[in-house]
Amino acid sequence: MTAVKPEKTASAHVPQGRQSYYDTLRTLSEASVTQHFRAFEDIAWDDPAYAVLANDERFILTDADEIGASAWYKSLPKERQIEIGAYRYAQVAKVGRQFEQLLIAGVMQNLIGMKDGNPEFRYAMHEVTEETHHIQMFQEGVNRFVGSAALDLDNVAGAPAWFKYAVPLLCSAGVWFPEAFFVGILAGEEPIDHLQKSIMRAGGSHPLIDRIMQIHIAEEARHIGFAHQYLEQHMPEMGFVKKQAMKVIFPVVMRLLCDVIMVPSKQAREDMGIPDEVAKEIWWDSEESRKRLRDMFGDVRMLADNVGVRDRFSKVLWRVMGIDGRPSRHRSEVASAAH
Amino acid sequence: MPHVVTQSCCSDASCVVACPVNCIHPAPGDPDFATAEMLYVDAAACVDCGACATACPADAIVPHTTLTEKQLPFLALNAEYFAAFPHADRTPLALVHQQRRLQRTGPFRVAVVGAGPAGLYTADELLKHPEITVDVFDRLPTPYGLVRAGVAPDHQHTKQIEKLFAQIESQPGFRYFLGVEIGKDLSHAELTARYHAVVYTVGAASDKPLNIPGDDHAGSLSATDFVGWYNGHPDKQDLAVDLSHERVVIVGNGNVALDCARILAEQPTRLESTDISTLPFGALLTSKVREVVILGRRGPNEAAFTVPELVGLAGHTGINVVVDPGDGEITGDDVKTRLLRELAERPLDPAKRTIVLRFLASPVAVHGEGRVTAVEIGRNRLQVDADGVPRAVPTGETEVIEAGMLLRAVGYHGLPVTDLPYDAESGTVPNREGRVHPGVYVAGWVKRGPTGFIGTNKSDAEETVDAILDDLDSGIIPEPVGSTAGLRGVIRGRQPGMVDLAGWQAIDREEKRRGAAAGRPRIKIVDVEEMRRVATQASEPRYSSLRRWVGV
Repeated sequence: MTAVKPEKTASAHVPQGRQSYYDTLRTLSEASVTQHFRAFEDIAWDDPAYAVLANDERFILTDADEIGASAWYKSLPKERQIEIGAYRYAQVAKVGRQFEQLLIAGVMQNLIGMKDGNPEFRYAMHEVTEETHHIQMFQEGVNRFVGSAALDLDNVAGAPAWFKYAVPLLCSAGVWFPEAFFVGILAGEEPIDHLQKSIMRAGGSHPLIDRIMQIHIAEEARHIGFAHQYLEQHMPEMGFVKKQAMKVIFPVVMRLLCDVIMVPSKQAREDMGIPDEVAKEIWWDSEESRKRLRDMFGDVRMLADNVGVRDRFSKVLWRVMGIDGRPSRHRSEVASAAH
Repeated sequence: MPHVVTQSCCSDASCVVACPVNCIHPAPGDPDFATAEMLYVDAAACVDCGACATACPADAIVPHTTLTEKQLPFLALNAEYFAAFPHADRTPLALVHQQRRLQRTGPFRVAVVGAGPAGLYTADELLKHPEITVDVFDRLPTPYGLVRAGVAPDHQHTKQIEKLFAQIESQPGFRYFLGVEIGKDLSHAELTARYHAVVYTVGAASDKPLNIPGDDHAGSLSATDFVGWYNGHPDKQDLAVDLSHERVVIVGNGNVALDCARILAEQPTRLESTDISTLPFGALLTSKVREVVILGRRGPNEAAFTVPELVGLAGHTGINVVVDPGDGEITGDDVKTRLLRELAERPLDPAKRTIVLRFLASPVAVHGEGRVTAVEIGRNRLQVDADGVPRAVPTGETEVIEAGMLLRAVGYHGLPVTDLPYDAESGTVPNREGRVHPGVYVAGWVKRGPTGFIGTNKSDAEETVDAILDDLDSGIIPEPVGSTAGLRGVIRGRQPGMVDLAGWQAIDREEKRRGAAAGRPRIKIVDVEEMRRVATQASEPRYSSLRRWVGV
């Protein structure tokens, strides 16, 4: 949270509309005032079209989902596909809500010591406000599933048990290593955003899920924009030691948190009845799923390249983590088969 | 609070995929995409995340708070579009089809002839398939076609698309054979013998004639050649451009006409910081031209220039713009007609050069003893024909205005491609969705005619590549008898000055180095031999094979 670095002037071309970091924060903040969603006002929860009913084929997972793309899932009878699909949507929403809670807690710690007049404070608070609505929206969504005819359970498993004990530690990074904490934020945001966008780009699913994902994708785009801008601004300001540490932390945090959010916990796998050997293949042993894992991080690789933490040595670590590959050309680029 | 699409929009439409709320239209697949002059952001839906701005290759999308006063019409233009086309049935996110995969395993080799935007977009689309490798050929030692030799030097934002092209050309599976002419250094038959598919993306290199008396006088030039001249096209550097008379007449009022007019009327100091070619810049410094008259045969409503370009011209503070609507009034309440009316009322600053947008006027004859001294202009009136299209009809009234140069900018026209069928009327190679016959394809202007913008070639290339994939899958293309093994050597034997990727990158670096010294983005090398010389200085980076082996 130190002074703003002067704009780089290396290139002869000055991109039009390129704002200084603080101006960008102002644009994002003002947009949060005019364009935002409220969990209980902007979703017609009781619209009959949104009802969660048994045997709704719209719950069947598509190729956009890792489970849906597996040969095992495709070989199941339709009723089982629907059951698993409903559970999967609820489970991802639940982990999503847990991550948003982690984000809020860490950002709050980060903002405690913030100096007056820093536009980061305002935008971060807007983001937190939006995330509270996402939490409500996700949890209400999950609540509509549990106990419904579609999902005869009273609880959906969220993140693995160890995660809740790790949360205070992860949050505290918001104070002593905010850049690393923001990498963690991205590690939670990017994979779920990627998954949701893949589902929506393929045409969506159940209307209630679609509405929740639509709202989440829209506001998450601003949050991801902020995380990118934050890191582009602050990473170059880091000292030598932090910078070297970041080269290691970046890919490791990405992969670790990605697994927390994307890989269902043991309990969740049991609830869905995914055999261990199938689970192993889906996360991330098969050729196809390894590519899926890589594709989730195209935008992150672009960012890491921009801030210079993905040099030829740390790239080895990206490869070990299974998240190397080509950087995206722009945010939200769709990866091709050759990537 | 929206982002706004501005002048340099090139219809590449990557922004459509980047947008998290599907608020950019028309999108590829929308019925009005092919005819739209640009894309627009729906202010009511935009969340200002800025993702589209990262996707725009031409640096056209900006947050509205950064709009300059002269860019403000774009705010209205974006709003105007969604008032007319609300796209109320849009999906939450733009739909993206799952990538089609080849059924056969390959590997397949494709040759692309022409390294302009259409060629590079085609290569990019092909390289999404790991089974395919692409070799791109071009007659000149430098790639990027009209982005380098067509886009006006004062449109540097548009030229940012070079960065996208640089990403395309550095992909695995991509090779350049630049400075190699197909039909001379290598024949079409040799290509088809070595490659599974050959795609011609050679553009439309010629222009349409005026067919009026005196059109062949000295001083009567094609705008295409003039554009090549100021942009440093090696073939056009000795064009006889005479700037000693105070008036130039340009026939046709499309964007090319506006480009030429701006360059002629611009204060040279403003061009100093661009990549305008050196010799033409010197000529413009001593130019006597005071007035550029642009003739449009129909009225203001039928003008060929696009609205974004008109906004740019209207916002230009260094040039007077006069609107002469002929006999008609400028009616309408859209951004275009509002701007034209506002321009018509603008006072003239005698210190500045002037561009006259003259409507309902056609050239009838060019006067002069072997060289242009005056142009005879006939007045037209509009008459709506049976199809409801307003047509220009001569009134018989004519007038003669003095001018030292005449530029014809009535449209590009494609030239025949050796060994390929040709439709002389449209100047294109007859094709079905890009397929000339299985194994031979076209994309870009040689396929669809000279319409659309740089990024339009992306969707155009997708269609052609789809045809190629169809043919590769169906097995209708015979396995080539030869291969590309040793092709490099063969080409080097015939054309020792062949330029590869490293060579082009060396030229690019050298041009930028020369430019940096003069405070310009680049100083173009305009001599082919010099280009080849600079290119040969490039060598493989040291340790590259070691790095490949270690895998970092």
